[in-house]
Amino acid sequence: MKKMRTMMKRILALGLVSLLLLAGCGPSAGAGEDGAAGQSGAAGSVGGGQEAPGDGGFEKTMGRYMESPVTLPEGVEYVKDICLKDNALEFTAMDGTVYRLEEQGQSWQEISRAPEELQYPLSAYTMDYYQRNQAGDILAGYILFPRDEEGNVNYDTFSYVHALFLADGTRIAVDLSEQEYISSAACDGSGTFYLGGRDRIYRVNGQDGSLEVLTEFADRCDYLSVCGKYLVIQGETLQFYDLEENRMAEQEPVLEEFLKAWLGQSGDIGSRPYLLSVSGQEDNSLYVLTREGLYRHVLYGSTMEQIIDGSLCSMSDRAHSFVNMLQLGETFYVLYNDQLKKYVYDPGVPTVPEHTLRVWGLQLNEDIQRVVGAFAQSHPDLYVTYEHPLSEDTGMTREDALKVLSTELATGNGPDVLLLDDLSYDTYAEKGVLADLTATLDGTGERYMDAVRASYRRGEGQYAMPMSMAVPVLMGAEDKIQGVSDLEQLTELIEQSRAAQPEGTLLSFNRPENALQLLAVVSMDDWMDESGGVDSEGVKNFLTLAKRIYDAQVSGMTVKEMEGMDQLVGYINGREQIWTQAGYQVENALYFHQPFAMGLLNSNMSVMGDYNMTSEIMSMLGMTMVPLAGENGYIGRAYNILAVNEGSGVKEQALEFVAYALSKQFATESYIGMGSVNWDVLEEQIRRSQEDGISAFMSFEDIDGKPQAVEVDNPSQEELAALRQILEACQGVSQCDSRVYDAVIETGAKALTGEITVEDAVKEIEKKVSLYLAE
Amino acid sequence: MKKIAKRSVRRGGSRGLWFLAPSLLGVGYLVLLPTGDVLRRSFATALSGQWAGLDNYRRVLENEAFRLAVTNTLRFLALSLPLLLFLGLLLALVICRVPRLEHFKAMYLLPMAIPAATVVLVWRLVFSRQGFLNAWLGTHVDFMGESSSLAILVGSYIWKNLGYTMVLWLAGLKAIPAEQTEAARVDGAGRIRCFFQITLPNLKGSAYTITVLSLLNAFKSFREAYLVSGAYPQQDIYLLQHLFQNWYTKLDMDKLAAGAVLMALVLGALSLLLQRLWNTTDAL
Repeated sequence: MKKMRTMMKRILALGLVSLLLLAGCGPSAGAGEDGAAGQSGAAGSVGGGQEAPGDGGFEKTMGRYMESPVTLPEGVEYVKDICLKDNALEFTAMDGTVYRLEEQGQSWQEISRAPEELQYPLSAYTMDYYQRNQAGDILAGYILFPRDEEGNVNYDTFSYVHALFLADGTRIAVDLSEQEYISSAACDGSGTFYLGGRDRIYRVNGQDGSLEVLTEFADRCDYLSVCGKYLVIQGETLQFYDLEENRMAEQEPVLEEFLKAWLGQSGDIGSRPYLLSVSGQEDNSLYVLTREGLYRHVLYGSTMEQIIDGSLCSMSDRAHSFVNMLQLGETFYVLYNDQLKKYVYDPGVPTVPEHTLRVWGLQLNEDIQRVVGAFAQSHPDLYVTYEHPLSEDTGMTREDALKVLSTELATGNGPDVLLLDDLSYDTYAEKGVLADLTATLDGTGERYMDAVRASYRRGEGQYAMPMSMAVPVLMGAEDKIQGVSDLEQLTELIEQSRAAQPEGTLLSFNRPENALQLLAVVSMDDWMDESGGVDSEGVKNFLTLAKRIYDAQVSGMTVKEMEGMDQLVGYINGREQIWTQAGYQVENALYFHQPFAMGLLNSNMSVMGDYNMTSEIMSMLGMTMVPLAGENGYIGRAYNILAVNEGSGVKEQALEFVAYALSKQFATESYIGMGSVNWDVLEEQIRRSQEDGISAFMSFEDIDGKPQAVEVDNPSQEELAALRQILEACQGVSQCDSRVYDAVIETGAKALTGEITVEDAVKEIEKKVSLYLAE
Repeated sequence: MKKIAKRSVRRGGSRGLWFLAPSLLGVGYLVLLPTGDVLRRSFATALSGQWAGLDNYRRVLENEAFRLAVTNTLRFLALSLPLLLFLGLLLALVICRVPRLEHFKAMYLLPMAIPAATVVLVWRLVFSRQGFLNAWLGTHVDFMGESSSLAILVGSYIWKNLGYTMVLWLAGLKAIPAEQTEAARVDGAGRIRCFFQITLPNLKGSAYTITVLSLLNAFKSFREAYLVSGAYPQQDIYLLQHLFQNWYTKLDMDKLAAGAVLMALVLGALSLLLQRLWNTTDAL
């Protein structure tokens, strides 16, 4: 008996020791997830190709809302707004034509057209707000430019119009002063319209257009929507107006807490949630659409119920801003700025996809995010996550993020797709971390730019490929810039121009670092030698010429130009990619009336794309463009450099992801912010722009306060030929290391202001990067 | 009787093993296994793990950054360690003579309680181009970006560890029997002679511990250097830890492992040398 008790004690002690050991030494549940985006957390500790939760012996949870695009009637590309009428979905096209979904969602029936008065504001994008109620009445506010006798639009003056267009054709002017700013319009189930002003909310009288002020408040109103008997006013805070009681209702703490991260972000429409009610469903329940997904909330209830996981569909894609959302039966319709999508519940699909594909980059990149969203939609079996540790509110430094990445790669749990922007391609390629993309790229049958591919070839393989590239160009009057092909000739041109024009800006910069960023686009590839060290002569030559250009530029700038340039720099806020864009720089030329502009030209052919904008303004200013080459030739800059982890558990899908990102299919279905490296994409974009026609309008006041209007049209055949010629001349993309680049910009700025000599700056740069290169 | 005793010893031994097992397992899993893995990796290629022989060691020894980091680390240790030990002892002797100062013993440890991030903030306020020191001197120098950075690092290390070292010396001094000094004084020995003939020999035991602890604390100075200047500081304060961290972020696991093994060997040899030195002086 005693022996038995002793044995029991020993077993108990052993068990306790084992438990303590396991508790102390075992890996924690969240280990290895540092730096992962929020979504990956939902998928558990997800390494390359590991199975997502739901597997591993547990029964899979089934059922998920599946996203699909809504096929629009032929000839309709974009939707202005959607609404429900008699339990059917109706949408208003961008030209004001209203269509109804018929035959159980199989076809569209044209119902009506917008009043003639609204046709131009709709097509020219000068509509401030446009709200249609169930009866077919339209409340609209727009900017009106007067026309002369010949029908030409005069952009020098304009006025604001607010009017109600009843379904029977009656037009009623809304009693609103021109100065009143209206941010949002809404209508309730009875068809009554409401307007959200700067500091008050109006109810519109449908009979005479008079306005009744419902409430005044100190806060601003960004959005208005109706939820049951409440008018939801969204601004810095969330407020509710009781339409039955005609008074402000109580605060909604649960919803406000949920939305607090987004409330007040009026400047960033793309990242703001859209708040709305769903007619015909439960009273006082509203749906909240955020980047995280779709949530249902009963007003003054205590929970937010997630209906759709945003990471599995377009909701998480910041490129699509939310316009409206409706529920029809069991189907949700979401109208984004560029597409209408529906979400249908499919009980046969696993709630969480079975495998995970992790995409990783240091910073959030909107192009990659679009690829992630689109790829996830076409792969419902994959949980595609996008991690960008430095963009998240984690306080993580670049070194921290890289350490986490190194740990994951070394332990075989690394991301499947890597975005190598701001990282050293050779570091990862040499270590054998990256998979060879040669066969994948050859297998797509699409034509990528050979010079770009060659820049990433190492030995027999190619281990990375950028999605986009841009090339350095100089713009100016043909007789002035003809024959200018490098930085030295540009320096002479600027100095001669300064001698001829003692006052006034010549290029767009007034700060040394901005000057260096702009001029670096020409010669940054000359700063490193073949062995990977700093090419002192190349850097010295660059800084000497940059200083001459900088001195010539700032010596003649007026105080007004200096201040204007400071404002621009403040607006750009360090976004170097925008600062160096040719389109942005030539816009500045229009603003400052400067004779030259230079920057990186990309072949983006979208409505307000870089090339359309550049060619339009160049033609307005009588400019032409020439390529600017460095010592190493005509070298461009690459963006969105994609690579695949050799050790990925879903390598096949990861390679497919890269091919998809570069494909014509993706560029056609979605949008690329920069010019593609794929010739087929360029040709398709040209074909589509010629077919559809481009019509965009931009107006601003220049430095003298004079209105400037740019109507962007299709580039001419000559302009397209010039673009092709410039892109074909490109001999590769720069491989300058980001640390060397940063050191040149940082230290070079001191040389430009004269704080140190160019020789000392070169020595300091060498010293700064010597350790990094020696390692 | 003899048989019973033998059995009792054997049973005791087995029980001891059971008690030791958890910690042995822990040490084996958390220390020995990783050490073995580092050793294995030092002879293999970075990520593929193929046999590389002594190639990693050759590359590390030929690496300029490694040589610089080793030189800087040794220079930092050679400057800061003796200075810290000497100043700590000096202060401890002063406090021994002025017993009232002993009441503030806890205050001397205060610098150790200040987080590295706070220290770094003070560094920036004082030593940056727009800092207090420049304002006071009327200069415009980035002290952390010049050769003065090493002096600042040494100064910071001494400031942070002086109180702690002094307290350790004080404990050693208190342990010396007062009778020995009193007898020597009666025999006519002066203060200096008493210090060299009685105090110093009696501090030998403490000195070994204090030296090893100070050496270990010296490696923690990397935190301040890293927080001020990041991964690539001014060349004079580029220490081994900077290099190892940078190798890690660059996935140079092969060089990192070889460098770590070399460093472990040097530290082990240094430790043995110190021990032998102590033993030799003891024998004398």
